[in-house]
Amino acid sequence: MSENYVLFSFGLMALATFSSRAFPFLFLRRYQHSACLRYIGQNLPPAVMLLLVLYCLKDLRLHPLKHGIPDLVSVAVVALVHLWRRNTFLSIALGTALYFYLKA
Amino acid sequence: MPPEFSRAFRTTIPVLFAYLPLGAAFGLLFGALHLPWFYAALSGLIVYAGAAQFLSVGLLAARASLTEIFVATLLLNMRHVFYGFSFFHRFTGSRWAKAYMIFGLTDETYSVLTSHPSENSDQDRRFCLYVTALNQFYWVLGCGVGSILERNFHIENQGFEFVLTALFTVLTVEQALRVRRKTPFLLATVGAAFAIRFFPNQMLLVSLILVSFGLMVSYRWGKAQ
Repeated sequence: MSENYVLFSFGLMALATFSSRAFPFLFLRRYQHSACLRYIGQNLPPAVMLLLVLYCLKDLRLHPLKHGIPDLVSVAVVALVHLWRRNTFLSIALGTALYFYLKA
Repeated sequence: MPPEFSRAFRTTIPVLFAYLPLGAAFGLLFGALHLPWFYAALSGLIVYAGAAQFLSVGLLAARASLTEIFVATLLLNMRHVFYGFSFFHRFTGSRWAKAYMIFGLTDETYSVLTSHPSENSDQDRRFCLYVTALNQFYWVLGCGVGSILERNFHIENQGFEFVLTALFTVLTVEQALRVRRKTPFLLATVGAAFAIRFFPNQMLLVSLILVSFGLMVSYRWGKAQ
């Protein structure tokens, strides 16, 4: 793999990330009291997080069902452990350990 | 040691325990690209966006075009557009300090800072800066350690991709506890099902557009009620 390709990619990824973080400071300051933007700002992040979970699972094959079980069970365990203790590290570590165990 | 620094350190200990292993998982996965070890840490230093960095491993391995990498990162980080709203009055001080805090506004930094406001604005300014810098330090350290481990101990990196799924699951639960509303989750489920069925290759883009549109409709609809 060409190192230039990787470095260019890093540069573009950095640009894309910084632009999205800087966008409101540059362009949305005067809309800070807009009710519609506040509503979207409140409700878009939860929707995007769930979309990202579904995105990670989108290539899961559910026929036969046993192929999908490690992923689905581990995700459910992560969510339940997190509701229980609300400790990011614990939830991720337990879920990933379970995933390794079920896949093996 | 300034008091804001020790307060920032105590506040960010949970992030330390999340970022070190997550960064290390990224470093391990990144090893599959067979690049010099410091590239993983470099990614953490200049890109500093966990989910996008994880996603980039697959994209780089598939030799995706630069446009595709740029667009994928932009879409994945679009949610950050809404994070800044909480900091118009908190990110102050010198131009460089402000720019750095905006650069470092990750999901975790956002949640730590929004849940720990301080009364005194001068202390708060330093607190925000320390939290941002400490979090990035943990992340870059994790990325570097992971890639060194992969290089020197030939650790199997298969299965670690689940860390990303787990991270998003945790963030979803956090968001659910925060908003306590069903609409965003219903819209996401419907949007994702539609996109996976009809546009499997542009799933993220299509579902994000559908969800944004759905939220605008639900806002109008809620106002008409």
